[in-house]
Amino acid sequence: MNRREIKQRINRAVRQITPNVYDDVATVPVRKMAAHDHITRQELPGERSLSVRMFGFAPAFASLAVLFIAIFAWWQFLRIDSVVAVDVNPSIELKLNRLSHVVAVQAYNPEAQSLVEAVPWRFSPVEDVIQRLLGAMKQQGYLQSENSFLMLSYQQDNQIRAEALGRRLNKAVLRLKLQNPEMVYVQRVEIKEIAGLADDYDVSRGVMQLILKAQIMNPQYSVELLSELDLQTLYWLSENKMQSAPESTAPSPTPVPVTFPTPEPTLGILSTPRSWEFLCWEEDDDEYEWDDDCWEDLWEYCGENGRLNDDCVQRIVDACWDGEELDDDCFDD
Amino acid sequence: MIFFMNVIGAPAPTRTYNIDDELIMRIGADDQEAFNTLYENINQPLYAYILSLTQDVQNAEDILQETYLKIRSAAHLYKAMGKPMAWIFTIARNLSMMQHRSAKRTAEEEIDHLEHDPRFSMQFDRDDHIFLKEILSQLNEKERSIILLHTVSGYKHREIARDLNMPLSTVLSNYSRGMNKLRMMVEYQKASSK
Repeated sequence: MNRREIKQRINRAVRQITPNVYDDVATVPVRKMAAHDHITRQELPGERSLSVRMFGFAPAFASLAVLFIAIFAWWQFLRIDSVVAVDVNPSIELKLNRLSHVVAVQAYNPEAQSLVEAVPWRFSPVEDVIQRLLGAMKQQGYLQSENSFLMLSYQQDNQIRAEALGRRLNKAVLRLKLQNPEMVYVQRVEIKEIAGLADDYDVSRGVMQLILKAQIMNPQYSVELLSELDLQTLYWLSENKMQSAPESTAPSPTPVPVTFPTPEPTLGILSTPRSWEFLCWEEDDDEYEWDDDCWEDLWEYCGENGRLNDDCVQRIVDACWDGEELDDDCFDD
Repeated sequence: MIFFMNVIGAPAPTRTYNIDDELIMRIGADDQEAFNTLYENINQPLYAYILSLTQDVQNAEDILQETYLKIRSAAHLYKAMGKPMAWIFTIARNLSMMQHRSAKRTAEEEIDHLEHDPRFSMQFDRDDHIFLKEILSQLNEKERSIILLHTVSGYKHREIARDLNMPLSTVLSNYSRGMNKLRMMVEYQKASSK
């Protein structure tokens, strides 16, 4: 049957059943309507053009909606909102989305890589991934001895969300903590610029913060030296608890220089040596703040050909460093 | 053979283009002659359109009656915009959407009803009706409306586009797609009956 035949058959079929309702509708009395109702309402030209205009915008609205949904999905599910470092000796960084689900993982050594490959982590809640990692670590012989040490470090800029994340992490390692409180250390990474420095030393952000803390507490040790130490020794150094550490774990003092994170120098010097910047980080309520005045004073006294003169700074350290910060008044003397 | 003769003998679609704003205004002024003219010209396409919306013969008839009554009761309010059929189709469409008689009869029940209705029994062809029910179920609403208005009432695609407030391209593409579906359906039926 071709198109013409189909059309003819449809035509005939409909004609056969088309009723003649003339007698039912032509003469029966009807009440005239006072105004159009929603059945008889006419679409006036103005209304139509408005609806047509609105319809014309429909693709644009739809595109915007899709874009909005995509951005929201990225923001909610894919954007890295916080970072959690799990350090034992294997060192792993978990990158979390806004829901604290793991969206990316970075292993810092081959042992960590094998652990990451053994554990499902993609879009799992951070506590679950940590539990799985700890289970896998135990299976592979980590965290078995009394000297084992686990550090969880988290970086989250928002204070409230950081506290919530801290609670989740503490909960995740609660059982280990109850077994051995000295075995577990949870810290918040508070230095925003630490990621770049951690990359330079190929350590996690948590370890890098521990190194910096240890360096501040023990300026006689260089960052290079500290970065070679095991985690527990670093922890002892950072907490100034070396007296509780076994003697063999104490590193032999090495003279500075050390490398420290630094904000942009304010003196307009293009090539800025970074070795002495640790002198100008001040600890304030467990946070570190950069002291511009200290840095300016150092440059005023020891700046030479675009760099700090090490001997000069060393003399200032000998005279003015109290173990935590430089005494401003000492400069004047 | 009988079927072939039927096809050849099918009446050609009537053209229905004697409707203008003035006719509706005259109906609004209770001009019976004007209503008669309207009825003669639009009964076939209006029923075809309503049937395409309801897919049910009895419901279509009810809505057809209600549409005429609505036209008579609201014609005096009609504002001349040069598209009286668009207004009438809108009324029919709104009434179709309003109808709550959602329980559709099966094809068998409907055929029984039609065969016993004295208005149809003389000319009613059971096979044609089954064919019609099948094609109605194969097409979507747009395709049904466009194909029925074009094939039954002889409406041009451009007129359908204007009176159903659709872009011409939509009418053409839906018509073409619907006809292709029907051709495939017929070929499939032919193949499966062999």
